[in-house]
Amino acid sequence: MLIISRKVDEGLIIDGEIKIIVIGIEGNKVKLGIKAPKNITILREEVVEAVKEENRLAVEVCLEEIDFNDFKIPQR
Amino acid sequence: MIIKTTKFGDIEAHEKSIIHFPEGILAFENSKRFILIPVNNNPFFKWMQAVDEPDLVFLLVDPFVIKEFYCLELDESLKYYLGIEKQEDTLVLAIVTVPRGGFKQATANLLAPIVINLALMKAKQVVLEGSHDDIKYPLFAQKNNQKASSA
Repeated sequence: MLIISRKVDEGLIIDGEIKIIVIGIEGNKVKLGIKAPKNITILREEVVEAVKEENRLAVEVCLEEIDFNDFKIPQR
Repeated sequence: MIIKTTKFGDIEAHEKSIIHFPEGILAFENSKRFILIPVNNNPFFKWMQAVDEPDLVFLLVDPFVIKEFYCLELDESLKYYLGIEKQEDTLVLAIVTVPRGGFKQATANLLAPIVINLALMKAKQVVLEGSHDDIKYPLFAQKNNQKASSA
């Protein structure tokens, strides 16, 4: 992993087209500004990890535990 | 072609019915080809079986049935990525998690739905901006104010 220290208002450019700037620092929080082309997906790491974990749980689905007749058009 | 599956035995499927996930599914990045299998007697659900791994299958549900006013915006980058030209070609499904203890406690992942372009049979699991709770959205309306999602 590359480690670089930056001050507020300083930035990084990745691959010529993704720009990350340190906008502010408050306590243990860093506010970043990211400028990237539309085809680049930017996600919070913990959200991606939570989705991965949910997917791992989902594949343990057991056919025998499901009675699809239980689910009808929602009662809402 | 014949697709071997643990849950459903051997399934005859046409090449054209294979859905391609160029990035795989999150945590299953190597699984890039799936087919949809209907659920008998229930149009809201579908099985999504991996073509190359007999063991790997997800249960999917129509998210619009689960949550009233559920909506997601297909942004330009996603449309471009999936090659979506017409909204009608798009199928959105949510992955269902059934915990031990039963179907009544099942939840759907509305935060990261599967978006499929049926015209090109290309798909992606899209992580939306939204409430973290939507990862475990209860399939069944909860009684006794009991929350199915863990904190």
